[in-house]
Amino acid sequence: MELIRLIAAGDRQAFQLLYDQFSDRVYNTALSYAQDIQLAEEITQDVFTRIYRSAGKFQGRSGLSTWIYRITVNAALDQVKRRRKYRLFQFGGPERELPDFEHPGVLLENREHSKLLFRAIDSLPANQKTAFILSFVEELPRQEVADIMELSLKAVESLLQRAKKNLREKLEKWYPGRRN
Amino acid sequence: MADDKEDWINSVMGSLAGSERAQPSGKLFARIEREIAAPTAKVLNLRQRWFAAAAVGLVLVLNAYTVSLYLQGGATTGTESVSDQQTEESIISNYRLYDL
Repeated sequence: MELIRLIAAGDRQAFQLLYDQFSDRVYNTALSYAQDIQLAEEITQDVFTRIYRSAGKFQGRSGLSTWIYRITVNAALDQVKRRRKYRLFQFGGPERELPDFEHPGVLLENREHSKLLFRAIDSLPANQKTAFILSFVEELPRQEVADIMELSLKAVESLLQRAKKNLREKLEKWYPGRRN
Repeated sequence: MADDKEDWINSVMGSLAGSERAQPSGKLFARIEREIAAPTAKVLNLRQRWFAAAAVGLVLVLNAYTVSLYLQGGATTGTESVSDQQTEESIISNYRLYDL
C-alpha cells in the first residue's frame, strides 16, 4: 500500500521497485495469453503504464498482487481480441492459426507437448482460459484466482472443470496415434 | 490403446511442470519510463463529445442559413422594387438632378 502511495506521488524509485517485484509475473501471464514474445512485452508495458497512471485510484480493497493480476488479465484479453480482429480483417476470412508457441521457460523434453497445450489453451473461451492460466500456469491459489476474476470459488472450480474437459477433447483430436 | 492415448493427453496436460518463469527484455522498463514521461492526450468523455458535435452542428446550420439568405438577396438584384423606383424619383425631383 505504501509502495502504491509513493508511486501515486510520482516516486520513480518506488515504481522501479514495483516493476522488479512484479514484472516477471505480469510478463509470464501475458505470455500465456499472447503466445508471442513481442506482444507479451507490449502487454507488460501497457500494464505497468496503467499501474503508474491509476496508482492514485488504488484503494487497497483487494491485495496489490490481485489488483495487478486483474489489470494484466484485462490488458491481455484486450490485446488478444485486437490481434484477432486485425488478423480477421487482414486475411478476410477464417482466422489463420498462430505458429506453435515455444515458451522460453519450458523444459527441453516437454517442448513439443507444451506447444500443443498452448495451442489448445488458445482455443478456450476467455473465462476458462483465464481460470486455467492463473491456476495451472501461474499456479495461484484458487481463492486468489477467484478474487482476481471477481467470481466465487465455486464459479472458478466450475470454469476449471470445463477448461480441462475442453482441453482434453481438443488434445484427443490431435493424438498422433489416432486413426482418421 | 486407450491407455496410451490417456497417458499422452496427461503428458501434454502436465508439460508445463518444472518450467521456469520467462524474463522480459532488459530494455522494457526504459520503454515504460519513456511512455509514462510522454504527455498524454486528453480524451473527451461521451458528454463532452456530444457537446462538441452539437456545437459543430449549430455552426453548420447557421452557416447554411446565412448562405441561403445571401442567395435569396442575390436573386432579387437587377429587378428594382416599386418603392426603390419611387425613392429615386423623389431624390431626382427634390434636388432637381439632371436639370442642366
